[in-house]
Amino acid sequence: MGLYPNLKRAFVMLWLLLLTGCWSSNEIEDLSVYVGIALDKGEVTAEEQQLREQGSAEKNIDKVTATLQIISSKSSSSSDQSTKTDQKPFINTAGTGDSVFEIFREFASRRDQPVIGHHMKIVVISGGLARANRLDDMLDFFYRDNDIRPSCFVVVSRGEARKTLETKVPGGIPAFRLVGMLDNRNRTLEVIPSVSLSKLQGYLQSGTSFILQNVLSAQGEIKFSGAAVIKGETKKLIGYLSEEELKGLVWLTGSGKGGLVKAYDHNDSGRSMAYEMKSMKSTIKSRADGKKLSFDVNIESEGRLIELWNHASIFNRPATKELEAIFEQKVRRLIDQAIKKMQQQYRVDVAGFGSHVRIEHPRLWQSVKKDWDSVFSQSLIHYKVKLKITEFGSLID
Amino acid sequence: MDENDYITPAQVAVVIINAMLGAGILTLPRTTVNAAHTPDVWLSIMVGGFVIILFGMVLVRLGLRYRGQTFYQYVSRITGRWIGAFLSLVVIVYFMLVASFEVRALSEVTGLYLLEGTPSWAIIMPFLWVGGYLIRGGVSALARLCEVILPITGIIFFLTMFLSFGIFDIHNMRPVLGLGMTPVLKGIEPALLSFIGFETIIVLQAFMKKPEKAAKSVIAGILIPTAFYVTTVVMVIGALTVDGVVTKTWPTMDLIRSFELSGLIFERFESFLLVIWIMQIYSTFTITCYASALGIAQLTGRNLKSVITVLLPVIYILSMAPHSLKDLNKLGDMLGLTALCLFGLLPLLLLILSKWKAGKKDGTVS
Repeated sequence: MGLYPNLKRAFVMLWLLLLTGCWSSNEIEDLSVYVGIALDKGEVTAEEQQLREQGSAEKNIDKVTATLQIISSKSSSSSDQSTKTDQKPFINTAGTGDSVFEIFREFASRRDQPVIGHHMKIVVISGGLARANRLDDMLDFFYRDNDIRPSCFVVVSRGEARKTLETKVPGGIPAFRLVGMLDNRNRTLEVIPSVSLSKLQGYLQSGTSFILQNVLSAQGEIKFSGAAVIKGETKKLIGYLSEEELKGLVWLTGSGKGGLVKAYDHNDSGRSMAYEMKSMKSTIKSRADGKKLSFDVNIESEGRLIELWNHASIFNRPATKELEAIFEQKVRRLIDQAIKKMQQQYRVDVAGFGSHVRIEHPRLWQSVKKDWDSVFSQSLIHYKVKLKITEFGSLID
Repeated sequence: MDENDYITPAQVAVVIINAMLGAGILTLPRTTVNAAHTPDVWLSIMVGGFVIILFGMVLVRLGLRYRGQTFYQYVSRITGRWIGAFLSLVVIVYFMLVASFEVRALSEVTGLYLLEGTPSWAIIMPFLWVGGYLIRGGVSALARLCEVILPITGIIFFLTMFLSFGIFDIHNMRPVLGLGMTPVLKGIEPALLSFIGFETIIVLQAFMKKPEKAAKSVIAGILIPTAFYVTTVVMVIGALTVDGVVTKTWPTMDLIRSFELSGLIFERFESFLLVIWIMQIYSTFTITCYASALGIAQLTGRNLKSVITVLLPVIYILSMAPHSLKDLNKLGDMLGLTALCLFGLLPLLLLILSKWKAGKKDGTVS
């Protein structure tokens, strides 16, 4: 021990103060965790209207109504036995304004527990709002904020976005349901590869057009149906793809993971049949002839015959080749619809053909990328579809 | 110099790696893509690594001519006392600024993603104290710490990077050399800046028992960070695209924030990346702080420990000097360019001068 043993000890004890815990910690029970956000056209809710009449809120333009889905901490704690069993595990609360961040911070003056975005999973944007406002404007706050992760997904709702965050099922959290539905790509072609904030930013920055999953809602039920088309140049919504057109697009790009093709016999319209797709592959080749571009698309798929109606016995079915031809024709019809919609109506490339030109003809791409959408709508797309029925399920034939 | 304070060739390599990996790894994808505008920047990094190996070789040759001496000691013998003292001073200030730059980057990133609300002095001060404590133990203590944290860094880094494979799209990395070599060349300059750290050999070599083995250490010390960097830019660009990367302040952080894995014990991995990154900042800080303190000690003939005590507050003040993140980035770029002149061009001049002097002395050219 040195000169001042006690002084040394006291000094060492001081270091214990550093072990007292986190500097600016917040107990999770004191926070409102929101897991989903719906952005709608500015429409002041009834409560908000009343609050305003009593003199709250500064003047602002009601551009956006943001509805937050907050996990209610009360329902998750089982200590309170008196809570009714049908009480929802979430609270939806809305605010209106022309700055998303301002709306968020307004909640601090309306709720005892401040809202935090660490667990936000999904943003639903209403179609009407996306038509009127640029996506990068509406989402700017989400990109800058350090709580909200870029892994959060973005979808569009053709109707009111806040309706998609409602449910009739007690105990379910709609935002989680939406995220879970995005995972069902191995079952249906109607779910497209999910777009996260970070993927979306790539699209927005590069100025390519793209599609976002469209979600419909009716009386607390929701359904993914078709897609919203966002034009890269304006970054606004310009229209929708129907379910059939979307399926065509998925076939064209070969991005499906699982799903089916339903078709009818040419002679017998009552005879429905279904093909369960097991694999889908599309090879796109771009050909440049001066500034004129064309694409050769080769689509191949293998799968099983999973359902066939109206045949007398299982040994009495049409030849495999015949069935394949029927399914192929159906797929071609879907693709035709999709191409027509892209090239003629919306005049945008949402199938990623531009990316093939960028990779295969990088120098040409430099000159066409500025007005790629219009170049694309004038280019020719040749495609071939080859479906192969490799098995018939548990039935022999 | 203490006889027992020495390091092995493997330790030299490890220290160089730890000195190199630092603040740059979070920003590298942005800085290189900003210059090149193509996904080919991984080639720029490889070329950059090769160039840095050449620079490193010159430094090693120089060190071999003055065994057991650090840059601060031998530079005066080459250029004369006054110029030597001036050059030493420049190098000392350079290391001091690098140390403060790293500290400030640490407080910026942790303040944003990890410890929001904690004042930056509360983050920086303990960091400085722990760093100061380590380097009081001399270069061998420093090297042993580096040996501990490097494997941890490597395992966690590559694990988190490869976990992002789910959002990786090879199309974003294509076409390779679509616009020829020009973008690759443009990307080399920012790539070179990320290799800053190799210059610590000017101090380390003096502590080697067999300084001729330093060449191998330097090559290994540069190739391994090259692997880290190439992996980083490939994974980041592959997931965030060239256009997405340029908008992000810390693109590598955003890569890890862009995915969640459910089903594992952990869903999010940014804290892992931050932990190893803080360890790397710590090692870079301690190494540069040591290099600076040693310079002052050798120049003024004072005790290293007392120099460190005085140096820490200076570094703290310097780290608080940049007003904003923009200023900080500017400082980082400036430091990088200084380093390239100071440790890329200058040593070559010194080497030629030294050989010429030696040749004049005994009439033969060595």
